[in-house]
Amino acid sequence: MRGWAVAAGMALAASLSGCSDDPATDQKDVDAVEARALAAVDGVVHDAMDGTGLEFVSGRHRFVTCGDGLAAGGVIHRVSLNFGPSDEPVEDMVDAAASAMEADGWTVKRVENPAIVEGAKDGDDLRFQFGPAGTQVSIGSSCVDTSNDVANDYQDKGYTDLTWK
Amino acid sequence: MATIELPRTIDPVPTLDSTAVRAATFATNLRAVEVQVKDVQAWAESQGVPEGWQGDARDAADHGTTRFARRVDVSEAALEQAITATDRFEDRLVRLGARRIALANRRTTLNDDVETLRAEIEGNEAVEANVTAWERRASALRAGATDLVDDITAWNGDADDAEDEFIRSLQGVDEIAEGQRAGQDPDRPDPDALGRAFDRRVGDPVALAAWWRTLSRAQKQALLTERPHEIGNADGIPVRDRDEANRAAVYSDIDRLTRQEADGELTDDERAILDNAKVIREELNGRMDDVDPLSGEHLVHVIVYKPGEHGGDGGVAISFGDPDRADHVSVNVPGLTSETSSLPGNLARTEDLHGSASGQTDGTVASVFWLDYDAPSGNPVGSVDDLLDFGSVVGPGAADRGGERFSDFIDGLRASDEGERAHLTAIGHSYGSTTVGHALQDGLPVDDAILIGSPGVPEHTAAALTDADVWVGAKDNDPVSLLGADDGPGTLGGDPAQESFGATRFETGDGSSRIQDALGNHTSYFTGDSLHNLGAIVVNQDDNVTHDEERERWTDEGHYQTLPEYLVESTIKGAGGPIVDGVEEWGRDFIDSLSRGFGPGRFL
Repeated sequence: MRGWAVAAGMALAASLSGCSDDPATDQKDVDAVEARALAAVDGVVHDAMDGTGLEFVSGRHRFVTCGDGLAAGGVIHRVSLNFGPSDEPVEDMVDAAASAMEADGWTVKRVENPAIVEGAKDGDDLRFQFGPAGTQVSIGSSCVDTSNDVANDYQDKGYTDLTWK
Repeated sequence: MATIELPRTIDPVPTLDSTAVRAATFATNLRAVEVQVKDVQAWAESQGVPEGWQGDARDAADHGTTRFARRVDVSEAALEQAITATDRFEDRLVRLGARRIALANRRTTLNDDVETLRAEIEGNEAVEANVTAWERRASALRAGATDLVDDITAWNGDADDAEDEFIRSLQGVDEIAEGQRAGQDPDRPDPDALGRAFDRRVGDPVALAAWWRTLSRAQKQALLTERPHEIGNADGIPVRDRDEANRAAVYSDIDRLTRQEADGELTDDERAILDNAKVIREELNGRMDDVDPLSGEHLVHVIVYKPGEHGGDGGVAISFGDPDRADHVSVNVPGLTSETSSLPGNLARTEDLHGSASGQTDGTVASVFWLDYDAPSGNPVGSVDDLLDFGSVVGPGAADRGGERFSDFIDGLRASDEGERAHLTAIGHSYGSTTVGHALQDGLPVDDAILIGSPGVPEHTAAALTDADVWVGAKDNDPVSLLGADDGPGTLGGDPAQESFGATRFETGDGSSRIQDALGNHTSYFTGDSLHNLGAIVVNQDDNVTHDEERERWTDEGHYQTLPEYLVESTIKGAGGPIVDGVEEWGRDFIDSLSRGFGPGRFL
């Protein structure tokens, strides 16, 4: 039993110590994911929201690690946008968001909750949740493999505000 | 033909100039200031006359500190009233917001009905047979429009009143004389007496919840700023009040410790508190404008804030949605390497779970991340303390102790629950599943339990573990999930994915079979099909769950991959990869250290 514990601990500990990928390559991959998400904000998200007349409240984006600190494994890029309340039926806005996503090549998924519509494209997930008291839009990437150091560096950058042009 | 009069289109309901979230943020700032003022007052009151001082010097010193404390109390009393007024304003804004939504819905329906009738009438005016029915409908619409306009006017008036009252309340304590009057107000809550009453009930969530409901708004707010760390962490206090207390504690801790840091007076323990508080503040600030789409209230709530506990790792619990009012509540417990500094990734995963669950129901959902136990963490190639912390993963001790704390937390959520009893799901990942297992063994009052990437639980059958429905997520290429299986070390208990255990195993995907991807497999349960299944279980949509076969030792087709087999095969498949190289290098260092002894600057 003790042998098992030592072997498993060694293997796990060694895994946790991280791999030695090339940081420059990692950063290039991560930056590409970020650029793709920000382009979606300027493109499909604008297309979906501009016709709603909803007031833009705030927007932010950031990176988080795929796993925990010592086993970060890579990073996920996340975008969050908040809009004000709406008096229009959520079904209409969901339909508008779905149309905008389809026109931009996203695979649209309708879920059980009629106030929510989701899309998937290039490993990214785009989600609109409409409500009478507020609307949230989020974009999340899949995990981009990096060394632990690179992943933690990106996470440590924290939030960056987004502007709505 | 008679003229049919239709009501004019109703204008949109005005929007509120103030929002509940902004009022809540303002109240948080006031509370943080109040906490610090109280700290100053407590310091002033504790200052006796310096030893050895006599005569006039003694009198002067005594008079000075007493007078200073009294002056501080004036500020404190003024702030108390401002906080209570802001808290009341926030609640009124929430209610006004709900009324506004109802009015907006009525307006939409009425305008639509008017347009429908107009379309029916236009072009058919000559059909006399319809006129009576049209007139009857038009009459009902006119009456409805009159009522709606009256209700919108009344709502507008109430919104103005709320703002006026709030402004008057703040203006009522913005001068020294008014602060003095507030301090002498016979109805001013006595935080000492309230504190004693609190102390008698803390530890009994049901009694505490019942007592808390009897307090006035001013009493709650007074106690909340008098003892924010205790109120914020007391099981049984409503989550929204815990959140208010904890936010005040976070921001006041940061202010106080940042000043100490600037003065060069920060101890190592205080450094850990400051670092943990900053991590939480970053998460809160980043979600400042995230609101519940239905209520407009803050989406995020801090339910536990213990930045100095667990050897400096800190304790924290944060929810998306309000567990006290949600139809479905989940609480997920993380495992190895979790500490407050790992909050960003853990909260992101919890947020994703909240999204998945919310998408599968039209009910309300709250998803809580709970880390208030000493999860094995630390860097195994760091200090001796870190190695010991990390090494606790091989034994159930931390899980057993953590299970007790988790049970207390769940008891608190049950006690503060409002309305119909929530459908509650406990989720444990990795070592967190062992922790949840120990809590289940002690009778954790949940409806469903989900064990993912589990290294083992303290019973060999689900029935022996709990009355709750037990679900298991286990990737075949997640070595941690094989630790409790046959041929595994089993130091933490049995594998809940085995058929003999009797749980329901859901689809998670198997993950890559290369050793390099082992940890990736272990840390990716909150994605893809696995995430969808977690969300379905959380909102009690069992039919949405896709199932996987439980692990069975021997079948006609063969048997599942045991841990020894996995390690051999995955290492062969990953040969030459960076992790394998890392294992070899680490192993050489380890053996070298063993042979030469540990020492500073060496392996440990």
